[in-house]
Amino acid sequence: MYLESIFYGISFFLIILIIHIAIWRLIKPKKHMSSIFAIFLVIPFIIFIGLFVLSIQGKLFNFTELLKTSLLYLALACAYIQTYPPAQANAPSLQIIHLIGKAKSKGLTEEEIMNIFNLNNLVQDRIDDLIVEGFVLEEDGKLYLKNKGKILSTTFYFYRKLYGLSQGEG
Amino acid sequence: MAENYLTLIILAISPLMLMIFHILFIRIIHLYKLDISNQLSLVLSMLFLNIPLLLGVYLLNKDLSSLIYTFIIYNSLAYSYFHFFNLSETARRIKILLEIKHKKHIVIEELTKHYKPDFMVKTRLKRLIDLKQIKKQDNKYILIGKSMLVGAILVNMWRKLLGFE
Repeated sequence: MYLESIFYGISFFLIILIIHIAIWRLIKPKKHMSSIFAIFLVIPFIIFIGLFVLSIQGKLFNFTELLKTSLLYLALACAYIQTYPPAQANAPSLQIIHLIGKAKSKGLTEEEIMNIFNLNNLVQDRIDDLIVEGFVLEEDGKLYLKNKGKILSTTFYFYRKLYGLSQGEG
Repeated sequence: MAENYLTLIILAISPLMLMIFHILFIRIIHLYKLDISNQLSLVLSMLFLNIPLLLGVYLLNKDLSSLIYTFIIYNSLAYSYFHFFNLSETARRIKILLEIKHKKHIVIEELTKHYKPDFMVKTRLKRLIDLKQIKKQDNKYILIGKSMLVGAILVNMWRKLLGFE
C-alpha cells in the first residue's frame, strides 16, 4: 500500500541530491541557503504541482499515491536542509568530537583542543554568511538587521519564549 | 482511502506534536531540576513518540509497509526539528541575530571580543559532556559515546563530496 510511495519518494530525493552535489562541485553558489531551498523545495514544489494537476485530470498517477510520495520527499528534503548548515559551517562541536575521537583512550586536555582546533574566523565567517545571505547589513563596522534578519530573529525569540528558555549560548 | 488521509494528517502534524511534548518535558525538567540537557530531552522525546505514532498508524492501516513509511517520515521530520531546536541553542548565526535584535545594532569588534575562543570551546565541551558523548578524566577529555563521532565523520565525508575541503 505504501511501498510504491516509499520507492518513488526516495528515488526523487536521490535525484535532487545528485543534482545538488553536481551543482556544488561545479559552481558552488555564494548564497548557500537560498540555493539549497531552491533546489530542494521550490523546484520540486513546481514539479509536484504539475504532477498533481495531471493526476486530477486522471492522466498520470493516483492522487493519493502522489500525496504520499510528496510527503515522504518533503520529510527527506527537510532532514537534508537541516543537516546542511552544520556541514557547511563545519560545526565546532563536530570538529571537537572528531579531535577527541582521534586521540582515542589518551584523550585531550582543554589546552590541546584549543591549540589544534582552528579558532580563527569562527565568528567572522558567520558574520560574512549573514551579510551574503542578506540577513544583516554592515555599516561603519556595525551590524544592522535587514528584513529577513528581523523575521528570523523574531521567530527564534518567540520560539525560545514558548519553551521558557533564555537565549542560546551560541 | 480515509485511513490514508488520516495517516498523512497525523504524519504532517507529528513535528507539532513533538514540539508540544518537548515543551512540556522541558518545563517538567526545569520544575523538578532534573539533570537532563535540553538536547538530550529532545532526543528522548523523539524516540518516545515513535511508539504511539507507529502503533496508531498500524492500527489504522493494518499494513506493515505503513510502518516503514511512518518510520521514515516521522523520524526525518523529528530529525529536522532536532536541528531547528539545536539552531536556537547553539548556532552562532542565530545568536548574532538575536544580539542585534536586542541591541538594535552591534559593533563587529564587540561581537568578536564576546566570542572568546576559550569560552566557545568550554561551552561546547560542557554540552558534549551533558550529551554523554565525552567525559573528563584526569583533566583530559575522553570519548565515551560513538553517535556524534559517527555524525562528525559522515559530515566530514559529505563536506569532501560537496567540495568544501
